[in-house]
Amino acid sequence: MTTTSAPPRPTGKPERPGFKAVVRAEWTKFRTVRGWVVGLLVATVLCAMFTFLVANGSHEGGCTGPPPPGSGPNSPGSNCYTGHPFVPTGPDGEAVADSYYFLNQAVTGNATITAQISSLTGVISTTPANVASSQTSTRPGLAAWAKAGILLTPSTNQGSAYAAVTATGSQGVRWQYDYTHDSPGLPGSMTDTSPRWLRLTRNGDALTGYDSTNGTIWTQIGTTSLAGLPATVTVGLFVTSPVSFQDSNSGSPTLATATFDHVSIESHGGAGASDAWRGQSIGNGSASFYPTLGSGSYHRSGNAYVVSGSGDIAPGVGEGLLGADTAASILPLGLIVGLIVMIVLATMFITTEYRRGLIRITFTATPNRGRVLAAKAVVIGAIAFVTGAVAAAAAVPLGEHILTANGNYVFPAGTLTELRVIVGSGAVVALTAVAVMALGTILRNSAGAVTAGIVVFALPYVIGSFLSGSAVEWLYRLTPAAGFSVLQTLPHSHAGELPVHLRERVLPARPVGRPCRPRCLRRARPGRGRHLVAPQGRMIEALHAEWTKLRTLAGTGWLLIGTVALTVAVSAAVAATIHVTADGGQDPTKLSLAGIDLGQAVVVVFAVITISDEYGSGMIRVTLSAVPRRLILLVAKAANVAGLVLLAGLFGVAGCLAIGRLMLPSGGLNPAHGYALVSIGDGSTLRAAVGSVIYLVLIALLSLGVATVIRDTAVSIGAVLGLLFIPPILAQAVSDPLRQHLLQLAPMPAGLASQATTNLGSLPIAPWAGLGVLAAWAIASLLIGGLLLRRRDA
Amino acid sequence: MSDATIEVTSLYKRFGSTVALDGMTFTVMPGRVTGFVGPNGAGKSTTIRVILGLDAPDEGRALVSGLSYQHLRHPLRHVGALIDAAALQPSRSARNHLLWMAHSQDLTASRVDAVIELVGLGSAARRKAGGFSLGMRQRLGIAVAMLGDPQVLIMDEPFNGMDPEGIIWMRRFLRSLAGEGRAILVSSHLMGELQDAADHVVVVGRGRVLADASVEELVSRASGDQVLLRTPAPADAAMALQRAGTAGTIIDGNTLSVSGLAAQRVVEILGEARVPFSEVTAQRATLEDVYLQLTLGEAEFQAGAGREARG
Repeated sequence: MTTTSAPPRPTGKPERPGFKAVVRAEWTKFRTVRGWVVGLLVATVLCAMFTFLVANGSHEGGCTGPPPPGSGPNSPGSNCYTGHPFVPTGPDGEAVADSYYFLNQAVTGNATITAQISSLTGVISTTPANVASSQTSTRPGLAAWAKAGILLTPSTNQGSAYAAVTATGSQGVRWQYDYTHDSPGLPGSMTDTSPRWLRLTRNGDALTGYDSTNGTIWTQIGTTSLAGLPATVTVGLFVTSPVSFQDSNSGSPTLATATFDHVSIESHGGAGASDAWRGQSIGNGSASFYPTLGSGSYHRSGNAYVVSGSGDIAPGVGEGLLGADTAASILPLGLIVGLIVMIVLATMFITTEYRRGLIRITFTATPNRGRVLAAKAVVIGAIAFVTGAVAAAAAVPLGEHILTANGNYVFPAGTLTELRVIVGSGAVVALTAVAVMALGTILRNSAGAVTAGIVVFALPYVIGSFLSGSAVEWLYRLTPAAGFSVLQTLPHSHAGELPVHLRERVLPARPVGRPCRPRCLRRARPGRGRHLVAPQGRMIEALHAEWTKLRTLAGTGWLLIGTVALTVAVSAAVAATIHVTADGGQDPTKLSLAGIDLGQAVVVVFAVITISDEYGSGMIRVTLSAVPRRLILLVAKAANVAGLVLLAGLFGVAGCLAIGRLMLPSGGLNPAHGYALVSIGDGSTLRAAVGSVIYLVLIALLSLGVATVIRDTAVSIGAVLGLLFIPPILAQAVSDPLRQHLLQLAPMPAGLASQATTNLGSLPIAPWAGLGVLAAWAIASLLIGGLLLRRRDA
Repeated sequence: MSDATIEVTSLYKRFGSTVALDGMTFTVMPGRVTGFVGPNGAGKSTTIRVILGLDAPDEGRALVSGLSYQHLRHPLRHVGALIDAAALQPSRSARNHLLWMAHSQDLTASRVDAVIELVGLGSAARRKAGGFSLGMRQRLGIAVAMLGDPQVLIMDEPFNGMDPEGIIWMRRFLRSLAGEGRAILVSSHLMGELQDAADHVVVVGRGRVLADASVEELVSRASGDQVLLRTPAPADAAMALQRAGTAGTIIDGNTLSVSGLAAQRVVEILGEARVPFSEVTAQRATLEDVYLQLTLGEAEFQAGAGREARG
């Protein structure tokens, strides 16, 4: 297989193959297995395909402005559009928000503008951002980054260059220019009793901001020069107030009002008269993407000017207001899918060596084992890097093209940023592959390495939806999913919020459907199974033999205990982190059963290896010579696996419900907040519990069928976990009707619909119907498996 | 129940462009050990897999005691097979490996203990089979084959990995089983291994049978009455033989090779002619020679399919 020409003997050193030779040998090993090379291709194609699916599933459109007459206050606005609203582009080509109220006049030549801000107050809309806001439904509150100050700009067009010295809601006085530059002023915040004085001077191209507490002692807080500033510029007083995320994840528009006193403009080219002030609302039309609470206004109060404004002058992150489509934002799902294939390949690269003792030959060829491992890591890392980078390079332009064609706003990204995304994707895939291979080296067993590799990536997406606040954040920080942050192309918002778009995409939609009481559970008709297998004696013997096989493997017990332990542990972790403050909206039973999401991974491993291990060791031939009726064999295996998983499921679900009953009340899910204690006596909870046990059994049967078709442990586990975890993640990223179909037809979301006990009307599929979908998957996979088992040579 | 036999009738099978079985036909009779020999890739293992119902032939059929393998009620009680000694899950103990198979044939654990004793694995039976040496695995494989006390036994390369002592044990074991009236098929790619074990030999190459005959018959056919004669007067001896109508070839100084006459007849001729001799040896070909001759012929006359198909 490998070429082993004698290496040149280095003089004076002991003879040993150079590292290059070892790397070359490992590369030859990889590329000469055709299935692995095909696997790389599959990974790339899957990545591009899923990126396409996500991009194609996103359609932009919506309504803004005041609601149509005669509709309720929470109705969408009447200005409906398809495609995305206008997004201004800043001086550096980046997307920006540029909406504010501007009381300004034109000034020519060098000038100094001074004003005292004596008050800054605000209101927050009590309707969410996606609903037309109204200035009557508000509550008092000042956004942290509400701004009021002096601004100088060559043009009032949105996205033009500017410099400003501004007071803020709670961030003190700031010096800001050109959207992305920000520096603080004097310490301490402005209050009504201690007003702040602001000054902005222009001297040629140089602009300087000053801050003062008394109007006599000035401190320079920032300076910049805006190249090519025209002689005549627009200067004045501005107020703006960004969307607040205090009340809801989707954000609420706000309005701020500031009182400016002692306003003066000293111009050397031509003084501005006080009556030259002109009030102007910038970027507040319904055509602009940034949600605002009214368009702002001003009035004089004695010598003072009272100005109100809404919007933001900032990088256009928009905290999800704009969607968050970047060239790279649609990539993660495709990357995860490609990663699953890569995880399988990386695992096999090491575990196949152990399986058939090839590792001994490898070690006789290269006695230095560290070198072998390093060479393997280099080879698989390099292969994974190239695959990831190629996949990203293909997927990013594809996704961008489709998103734009669907009317979505795609944040502009520079060539360097795209390069970082491509290289970063390669790095994420490479590091994962090396880590999984290391795991494979430790475990010497493909089932463990593949499962751990996939679960660790899917984990935040799978159980993240159950956790709240900081727990989710930590999950994203600590699991390898953190690596995906390399795909971020949006500048960080100074608002310092968690990227909400990520969380929104990750939170699965709550399930839907007709309410179904336990009476819908049809009784099994007696006698139906009798004709299934004619020779009962053979069946009983096959069952007995398969049972003996399972019980005499130590792994069986450990995997079943592992299923119970992991299920209960995850449920406990979810119950421990949950903190509910508001009433309603949570489903205590479903939360208690969250552990099933992860426990099923162990069930998958258990079911897969009952058959794939026989293929791996060649024992399947012995088995088939003992039980030549192959369908009887498969049914016997299925029955044993189902029975054992049923047992483990009963314990796991009982444990979960006990955890839920004991731990959830302290997290706020208690009668005080209107939640009943989790109780098996409750009809829908009983249905959820029974449904969860059946769910696990059906997952086991599905896995057994898939493994019968595929026969290889690593590939089977990869395929089943991919089939389970990818559709729900995909569903979070696409819009209806694809999303709805995915949730109705994919095995995991459909099957888990049985766990819901509240809001049954909004489930995509009714609980028992969902289990029916999963059962159809399991039966189909067993049928195909059985057919192939019968037809194929063993 | 019909006699313990294996009947293989015109099996054809291709794997892609490779012809694995090309009209394989033979019968394994009870009461004797039938050797199944041929070079690597001749189709031995494929034939065995077809007999065991593991592979489906494109054409033809294989019957065990008159039934197809799938129709045997308790297959391991009819046919015992040693196919791949390494084919076991390493973390299961030898005894448990036998136990699940016993359960599949409605046999009890006492039968398991009996076969463990039979192959001499008693002390290792409760150890993980993954840690077994090749020889121990081979013994475990034989225990598997003997589990149902079958009348038909199929052994695929049973001598692989056995030490000389084990090989001798194996030969005796196979002979004694045949002596009990069982039909035994033993495959090997080394003819020498079968020399003292088999009564009957099926030689195969390129998926078909080259020779199917008893060991005795094959050997004599190949040796063709070669007699080696050692004499101080080779010229006189050659003359005497020529008078009797046979040619003797002088091999070296005083050794002649005579063909076409039995050793007994050579002695008589020399006695009549009063030619002195020190040694007359009937030269018997080994099974190895026969095998090489057959497979060489097979290589030379690839196109003449079936020329020597039946012995």
